[in-house]
Amino acid sequence: MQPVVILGAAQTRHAARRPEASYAELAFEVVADVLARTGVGHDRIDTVITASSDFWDGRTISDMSVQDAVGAAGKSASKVSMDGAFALVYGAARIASGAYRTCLVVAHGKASEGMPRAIASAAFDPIYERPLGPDDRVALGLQARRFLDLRGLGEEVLAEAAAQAWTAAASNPNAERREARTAVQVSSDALVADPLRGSQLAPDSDGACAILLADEQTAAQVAAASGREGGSTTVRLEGFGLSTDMHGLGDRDLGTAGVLPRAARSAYEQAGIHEPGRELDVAETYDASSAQTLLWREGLGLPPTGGPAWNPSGGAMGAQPGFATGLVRVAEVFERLARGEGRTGVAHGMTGFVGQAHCVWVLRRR
Amino acid sequence: MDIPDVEPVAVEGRIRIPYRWPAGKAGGRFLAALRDESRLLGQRCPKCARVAVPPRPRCLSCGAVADEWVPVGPEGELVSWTVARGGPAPVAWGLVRLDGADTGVLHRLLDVAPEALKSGMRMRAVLDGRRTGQITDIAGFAPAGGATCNR
Ligand SMILES: [Zn+2]
Repeated sequence: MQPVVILGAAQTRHAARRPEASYAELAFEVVADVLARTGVGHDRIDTVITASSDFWDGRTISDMSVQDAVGAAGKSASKVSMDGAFALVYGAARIASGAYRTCLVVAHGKASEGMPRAIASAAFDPIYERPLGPDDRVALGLQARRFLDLRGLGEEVLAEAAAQAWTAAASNPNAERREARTAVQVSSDALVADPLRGSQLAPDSDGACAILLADEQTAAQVAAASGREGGSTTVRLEGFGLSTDMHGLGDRDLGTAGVLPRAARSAYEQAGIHEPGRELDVAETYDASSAQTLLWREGLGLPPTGGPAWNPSGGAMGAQPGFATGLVRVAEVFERLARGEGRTGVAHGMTGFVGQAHCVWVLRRR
Repeated sequence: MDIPDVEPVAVEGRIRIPYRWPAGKAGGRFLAALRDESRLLGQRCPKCARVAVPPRPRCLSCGAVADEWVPVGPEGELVSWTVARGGPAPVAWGLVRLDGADTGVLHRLLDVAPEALKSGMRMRAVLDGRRTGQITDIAGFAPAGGATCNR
């Protein structure tokens, strides 16, 4: 298999609403940005993988809503209707196979144009659950309650996790939430789905993310052409894991990290990581609630305190641009490593209710 | 040519497409027993004995074809709960593991104040007086002892 190098990443300034931008314009922002950052021309892109949702975009074959923006026409293009971290698996496999030298992976989400709760409700089982009218926040509340009960924890742990996320997001220029909050402020917010308060839920955001992958030889050529030293500071994808749990909320124990440890184990094994708490320098997770911030940390095999820089971007609690959310985690880890802030990092994406499917990536700077 | 900025323009729309979702053999049997006999049925795996409610065509644990039916409930344990406060009135939701079942059922919780909700409490299925063969034939789950089975 060919090693897979990340040439560059780009993301939008995520926001609650971007009414002036079409779906395509939102995606084009990050495509233009990643091409400019890497100095790679459109004609050098071999293949394109996008992540989008028909329900979120309000049209079937939703990859067509961004086809022009990502330059898919005339190329081998395909779509993943899951979080962008999963689309990266498809893209990386194309490079690893040796069949393609460069692959552009693009994910977008525009929550403001639809009704996020109603769209989430449509993902429940149509026979046994959907007629009752649940939505994603019901699932998040049930998970958070079970998480606390299973461990005998009080609601203050959720407030502390949320305050940490808000504070981290405040210094992330791309986050939608840009205001530091204390645990006391977070605790005084109104309950949305007990025990979760509004500030303990990830926001619904508009945004996009693009990641450009290449094989080693191409990465060295691109680096040489840009005047940088030939591939001396490349960041590679060195391990990944995927795992899917049962769909029904009553079929799994929501108080645990579910199948995340399985995905993490696979990613760590491939990357030769034995002690993630010591060997990783940065971790970014798709946490849709403060309970998930704590759960996914545990699921990734990290200690409750110490260990790698934890969600330094604020995680998904800072911005949740639909299917771009997991790909943004990869972009955040990439940027840190490329800047020289650490050598190895883990990025996590998820799809489905409260962590039904997890995707874990290990990135390493060489 | 100078092009001035304009107010954002958007097309407003709504997608409404009728669908049918067949309950299948197993689901049909489960919903018919609920409608016609006021009974809650689970499906037991012949291989690993896991009892699933609602029923599935295959055992979720081991993949065996489950075709053995066992009565479950109507009482059970509240595994987790939440109160959704986004709408006009708060709605209590729970996952209830019916007696004899290994899985939890997602449903609305009735006749209970949010402050009284506690994981582990005993609940009882409250059936709707008018049956249509849908999951809504269960009106919800109320604290055991308080409510009767039929409203
Ligand atoms: Zn079985």
